[in-house]
Amino acid sequence: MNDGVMKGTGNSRYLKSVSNFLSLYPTYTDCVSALVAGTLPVDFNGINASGWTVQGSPLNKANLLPDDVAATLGLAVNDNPQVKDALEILSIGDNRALVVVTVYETNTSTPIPNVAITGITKADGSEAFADANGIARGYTTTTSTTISVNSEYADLTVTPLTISTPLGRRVFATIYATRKTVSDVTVTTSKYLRFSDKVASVDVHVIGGGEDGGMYSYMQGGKGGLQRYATVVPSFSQRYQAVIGTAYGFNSTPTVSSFMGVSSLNGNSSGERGSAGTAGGSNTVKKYGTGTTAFAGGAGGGGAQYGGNPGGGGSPNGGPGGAVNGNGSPASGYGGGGGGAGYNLSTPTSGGAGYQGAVFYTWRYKTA
Amino acid sequence: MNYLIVENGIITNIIIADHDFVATTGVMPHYEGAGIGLAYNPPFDIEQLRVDMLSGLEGMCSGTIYAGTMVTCSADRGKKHYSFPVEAQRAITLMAQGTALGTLAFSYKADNEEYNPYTAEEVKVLFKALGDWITANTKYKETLEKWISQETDVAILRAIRYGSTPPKALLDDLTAYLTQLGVDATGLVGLLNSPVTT
Repeated sequence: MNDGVMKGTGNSRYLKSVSNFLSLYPTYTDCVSALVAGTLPVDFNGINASGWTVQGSPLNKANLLPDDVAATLGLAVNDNPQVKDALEILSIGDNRALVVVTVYETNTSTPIPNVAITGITKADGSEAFADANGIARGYTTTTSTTISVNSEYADLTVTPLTISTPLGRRVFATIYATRKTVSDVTVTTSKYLRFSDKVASVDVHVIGGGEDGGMYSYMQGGKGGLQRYATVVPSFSQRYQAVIGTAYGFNSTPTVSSFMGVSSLNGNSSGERGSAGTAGGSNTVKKYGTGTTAFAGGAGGGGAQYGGNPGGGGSPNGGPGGAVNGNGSPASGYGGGGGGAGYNLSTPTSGGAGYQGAVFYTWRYKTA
Repeated sequence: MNYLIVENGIITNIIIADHDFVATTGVMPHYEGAGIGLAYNPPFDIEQLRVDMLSGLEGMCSGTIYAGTMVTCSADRGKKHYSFPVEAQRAITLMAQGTALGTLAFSYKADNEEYNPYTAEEVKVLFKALGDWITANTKYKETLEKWISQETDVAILRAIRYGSTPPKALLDDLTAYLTQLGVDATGLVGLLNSPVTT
């Protein structure tokens, strides 16, 4: 293409205006006022060749992206392809396909913005995300690709879509996801979770693993797991680890459950040990601090002393202590402590097993 | 399954996780005796280490044989280096058969030489050197296999390489065997330049 070189003689182009220009703008002041207001009507009426040393190549369809070139690149002429489309096609190369994905809420034309997409990656190999309009661009190196909103979104039910992705080509796809009805979720194994941009806040309650009950030389029940709760405002770009602590040995360091910055580390007890012959402490803390019942924790009851009775397990999940010559009972639910072993007259007795920790969460959507 | 979260060599948590979570976070497998606050020190599987070390020996032995050794075919020719890839082994063997049939002159070359005439005597020396090199290396490999199988010191076991000098008893057995066969083990002795230190 040629760069235009004007002579600088002030005559490189023509202007043309309406036929009644003079009646519309009879004075210089009228004309200037219209010009300043941006209402002065003119056409750029072509090039005056005598004002140019070299005439530049015109920036028109024939010079930028004619239909035959667009068709050669695999672009559909009826789709009004732009130069940027051609550049995108040329950037693909032979060993990958470019997938342009639009994400909608199921059965609607409402895009879901800013969600991570699986099945494709950005050019640098990192995770592909939809933009503010719910459109994601990414690459695949296989000729058949399953595309989906990342299944880690806690508030979305995703519907994967498998499409043909010929290498060297650009492919368009539309996928859907459904906003879940708000529910109360229990996480029992460590995993990653995310929240989409429509989630306003998340209530989180974590409880660490319960302690095993002590053996016959202690006769003490295990502590309930440490717990903590909070309301968290999620970031849609964040990937959160929900970590679930196991049960832990008597008199050992407690395991930790955590989620979205809420950790049972240094949390509050959900039930103190029952000592020999006494009941384990109950957990009186309600879920998220606002629930109706204590739902986890509870310490193990103490084992029976010689000639005595064992202590009961703390509510809700603590294991009862063992009778004389009996083992402590295991905890029955998340964060529960195991029952302590009963007094040993003959065979050594052991404490009941504590119960693993858990993460609980629920969420609320933005109202508008 | 239970896994450990380890920070700076210290166990900081014991968690329940599925395989996908473990794959992306680098948490470590749980083992009996692990506890929060303790150093991460999983039990060592010495048998697996032996299997891993033995699996690499065959390739090292073949590679060493193929790489060849120094041979003095005659006083006039002097000491030169000969590689013994499979093709060279075949060529030398055919030439050696030729000497038995009465052929007096052959075309061959040391490394980095052009082909030139070899006498029947030179070919016989070369053939003997090839045989000695193969015998010495295969017997040495067998010695290393014995050593790896019976070594109980993990640090020493980890340090064993093709070229390591075996313990005296194994080395004496190797030397006696090669001497019994009249094998020139000069090249192998040159190879044993890696005494095991830990």
